[in-house]
Amino acid sequence: MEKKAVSQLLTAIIMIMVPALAHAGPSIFFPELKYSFGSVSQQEKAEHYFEFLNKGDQDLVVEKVSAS
Amino acid sequence: MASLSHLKPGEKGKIHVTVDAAGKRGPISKTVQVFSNDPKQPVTTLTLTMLVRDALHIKPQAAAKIFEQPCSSCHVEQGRGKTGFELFRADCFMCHNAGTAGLSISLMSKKPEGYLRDVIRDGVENTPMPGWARGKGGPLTDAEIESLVKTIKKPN
Repeated sequence: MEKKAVSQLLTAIIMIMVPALAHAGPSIFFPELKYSFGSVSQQEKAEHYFEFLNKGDQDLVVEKVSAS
Repeated sequence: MASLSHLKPGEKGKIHVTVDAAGKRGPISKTVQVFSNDPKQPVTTLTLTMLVRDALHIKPQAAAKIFEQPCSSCHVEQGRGKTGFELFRADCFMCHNAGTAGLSISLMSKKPEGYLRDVIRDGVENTPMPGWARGKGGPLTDAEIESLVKTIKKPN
């Protein structure tokens, strides 16, 4: 094959691979990262649920959740 | 329904967070870190904030109220079975921390042992300091009071 054809073929292969690589894998998404309870009295226990979604194309594993 | 730890593509999950406001006052903030196998976002930080109102210390109360609920769960129960510095930290520190209701430990350490013993046992009239001795309606034995006197007098 002549040089120009080879480099065009390689470019085409890379252009197809890059988007595929960029999207492969799990993707964690939280629509809400902060929450304020507002004014709370000392005797209240405040609770909240943060929702999240796997926007990726492979299984998402939450390995650990730690609090300050 | 996805479990917290394992989500297929498109599945939703929830992280449950609780914040206990007991013993806190004013603006507080808590962060939670979520570690996952997302290669582009391996750690996500969630933030919770609140403003804790003090609903418990609003009106002046008789000093001995501290031995009843709800006051005793913060001011007395934490000290059960403790002596010395641990007892001081559980029962005394909250009010005697510099800037709050009572004398700081450095000022108290300059008082004679007899004075400290009497004040802890009998309290100080017309102040928020109650008598802590069992004979005065308080929770502490003579030995526990003695351990507090020694702790206060011990040079740092």
